[in-house]
Amino acid sequence: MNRNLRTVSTKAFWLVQFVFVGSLLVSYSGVFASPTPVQPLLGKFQPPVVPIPRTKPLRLAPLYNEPTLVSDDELGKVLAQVRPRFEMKRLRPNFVEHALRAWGVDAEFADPKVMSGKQMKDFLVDHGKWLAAWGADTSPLLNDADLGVNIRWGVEEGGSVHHDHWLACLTEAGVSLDEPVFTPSNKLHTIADVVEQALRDFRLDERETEWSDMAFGLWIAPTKSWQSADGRTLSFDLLARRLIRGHKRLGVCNGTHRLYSLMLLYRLDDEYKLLDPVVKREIRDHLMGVRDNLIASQFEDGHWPTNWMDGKAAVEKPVDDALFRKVIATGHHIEWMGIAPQEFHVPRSQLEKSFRFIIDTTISRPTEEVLGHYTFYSHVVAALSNWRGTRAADFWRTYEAAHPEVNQVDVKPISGSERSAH
Amino acid sequence: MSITLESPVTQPDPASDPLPGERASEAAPFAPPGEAYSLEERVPDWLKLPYSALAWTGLIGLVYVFYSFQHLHYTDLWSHVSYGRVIWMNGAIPATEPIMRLSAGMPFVDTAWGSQVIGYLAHRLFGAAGLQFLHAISITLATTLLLRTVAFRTHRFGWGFLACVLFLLLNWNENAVTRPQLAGIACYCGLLSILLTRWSATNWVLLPALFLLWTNLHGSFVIGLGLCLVATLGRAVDVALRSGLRSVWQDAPCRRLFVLTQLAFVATLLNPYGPALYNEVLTFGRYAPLADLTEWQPLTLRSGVGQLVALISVALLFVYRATPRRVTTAELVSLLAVSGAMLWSQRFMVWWAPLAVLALVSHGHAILVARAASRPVDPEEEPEEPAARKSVVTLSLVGLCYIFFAFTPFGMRVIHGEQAGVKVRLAANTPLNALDWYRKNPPQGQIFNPMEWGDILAFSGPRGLRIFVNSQAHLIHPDIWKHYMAVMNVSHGWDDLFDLYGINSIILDKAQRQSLIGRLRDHEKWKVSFEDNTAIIFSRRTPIVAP
Repeated sequence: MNRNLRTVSTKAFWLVQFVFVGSLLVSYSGVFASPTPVQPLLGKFQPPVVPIPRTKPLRLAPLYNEPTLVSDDELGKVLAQVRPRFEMKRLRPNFVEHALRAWGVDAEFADPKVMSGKQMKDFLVDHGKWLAAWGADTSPLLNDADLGVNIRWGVEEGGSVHHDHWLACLTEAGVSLDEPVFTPSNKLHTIADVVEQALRDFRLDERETEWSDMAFGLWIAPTKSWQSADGRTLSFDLLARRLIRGHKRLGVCNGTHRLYSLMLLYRLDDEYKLLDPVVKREIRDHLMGVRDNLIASQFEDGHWPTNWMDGKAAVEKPVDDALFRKVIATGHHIEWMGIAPQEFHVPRSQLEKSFRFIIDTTISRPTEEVLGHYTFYSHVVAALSNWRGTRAADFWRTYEAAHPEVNQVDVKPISGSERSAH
Repeated sequence: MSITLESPVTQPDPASDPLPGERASEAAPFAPPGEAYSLEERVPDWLKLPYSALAWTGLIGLVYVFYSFQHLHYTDLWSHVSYGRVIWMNGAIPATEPIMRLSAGMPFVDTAWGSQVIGYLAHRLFGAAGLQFLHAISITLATTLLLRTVAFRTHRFGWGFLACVLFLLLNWNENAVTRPQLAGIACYCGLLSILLTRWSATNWVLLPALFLLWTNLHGSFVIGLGLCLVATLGRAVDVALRSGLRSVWQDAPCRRLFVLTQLAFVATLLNPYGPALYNEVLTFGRYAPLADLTEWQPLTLRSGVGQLVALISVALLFVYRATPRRVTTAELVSLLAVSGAMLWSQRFMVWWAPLAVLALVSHGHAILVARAASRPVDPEEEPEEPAARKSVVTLSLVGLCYIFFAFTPFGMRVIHGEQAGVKVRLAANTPLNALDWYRKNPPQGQIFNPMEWGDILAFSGPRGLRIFVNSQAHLIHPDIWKHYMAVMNVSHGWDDLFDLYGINSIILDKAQRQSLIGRLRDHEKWKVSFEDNTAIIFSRRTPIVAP
């Protein structure tokens, strides 16, 4: 064999070194970037930060103002019943989240026993305020994460009950992106950090995704897709299909929050084109199916049962729902239909009956009972306000001024620590 | 072979001993008087082969035929062909998982895209026989390259036969499934052949080309690169210990290995992901579902293969103790490294097997040679003559190869075309009737299926069938995998998960899932829609409406 080919000459050696180093430089310069995100050799995968193109979250414009469904007087009486009269000691964040979502951050009340929107917001975003209610023995609600803020959620005391419910409620209440969030370490964060952390943390197949979907849609539209910390590429199409997937009874409040979130994405798509047309059609078909279920499952007094998805069978073989459960189902259905185009509504006569049921029930029940089931009744506030084309805080400001007698009723604040199914 | 008739140069002398040329004239009875014709072989020497070549070819041919008739397994293979189909149809590798709807969005770093496309094209052109061919040719190639190394080191068919048997026994389970790893093993054996046989100038091209191919066929190329690195460093250590550190730079093989390793590395960068492919391959073990799969767990003595590995390991200890052959640092380090990896995960056994077999036969042969050399020489004993090379052997070998080729399903398909009616058999426990039932009764929405059947269900089932999982466990989100395992283990809340995913149809293998099948038979929401000896399909009595 040619001896030259058995050995490596100095010239050839340095030529190979040149090729070797050159190829390394070219490869790692990003010229041949991987089309798929890859795990770093050391450390965790960090997805790119998703741009948030606004300082205030989107808000769906009201589609209706229906005084024939709920009059000013009825709305005022309902709002008066569902004012957030909370005792601070061991006040559950879940109650405050619901109240804030229904009333908004700018809600103000003449009655000093009622928490204002600002007080509610501060309770949620400031560890100090939360600490005053729960003490140091309870795990904090807000926690520092690697890059953002984690909200403790679950059934343990002092936490938010549902994943991203904290964020979704503050978002729907209209909190600013730069609103400070104070964690136990006194490290200053903002709502933007919470949104970014939620986008990173999100897992499509966790049990409840309704709240995350809402928050993401209202903050990041028109961005359609992003990556989570596990490298998965998520999109509003996937989120919508996840909401459609599975038995209709599954999900928070008998599956009704899935409907609200689906309709929210459907509406956002009208303006921001978040969804693939095929997926949008799937949402439409699904919600039309729900409408058919509701048409068939409404009871004579106007309420929908918890097994509304059974359609006619729900009426033929009624389940023994407690009153508050009827309020949950009926209030939530009225709420999602309030943001839905008319084609998704049940017939007008059925809609009127459902309004009658929910208004009469809310007004007629003792205030203490309403406050005891605050989380459920808060949806009635949000739904009726929206059907009147207004916000609870705005309407209440006028109503309270015109009806000062609403503050003369003495109601014992609730601690908010009663356990509710919501 | 060409035979020509020529005029003789000399007249035969009956008194003298016959010469080889004269035998030819005797064999020409019709030669005119006074003239003689001789048959002179014009086959060049390099085309002539010794009789032992027939034995080697026979052995390799039998391996090829055996694996050509092996049943196609229902798992793994079909998902790779499906991915190949997606890549071929789209002209690009998808960035996210393209087959399992539930795992949509999961990052899809395809470390075997080349094998998948080749697999898909083979199936498209030749049907399942094409896949059988790929399966058989990969194993045969690996075996052949291993035998080449053994032949170079021992020059004995017996040792080759032993190596072949041990190699195939150790890889018995892995060879049962057609998958890109087989191409990786072939490349690995090719690398060993390059590194452990006589140096050739073509290696300058061959080795980088091998790595270029390997990188795009299977993610195991990093093991090959590691081997190159160990070979280089091992050589450097050996030279340094023998002749001092300064000699390392002057050692031609050492420099050669160093440069070759660099060229191999450069070649591995030529893939669709560039250097990022390394990240995926080197962190592959991070995928949570792999922990639940037997083949990713450590090798233990409880399995037959584990016992064989233990036996060979003990034999290696004895062989290394007795061998007169030099044990190189590279050999020892590579064997120990792969042994350690194998104890971590038995998937590494396929990379241990060739190294262990080569070490065993090389040193085993050296021991016997040394013993023979130490025996007193018998003056009567004639020295062994070099084996005669014959053109007829070459001819026979070509015929043998044709027979081996033509006898297989792929050969028949190539020679006779589709009308040959070649029927490729699928492995037992393949749910063929259930697949047929699904084609006639496409389920609405999501189905639940065993991981092992997800591949063939997605490939051969009705269009758009929404499988729950397939055997590509690393592409399944941990949450979905957790739910899959909960159902399979009939854990608390197992039946609620069917509602959560909107599952309307459940297919299960009767051999493995009797516990779950029993629970479903008694379940009020489910009814049996199909059943045979292999599979059972349950349908939801009131289907969940799915888009």
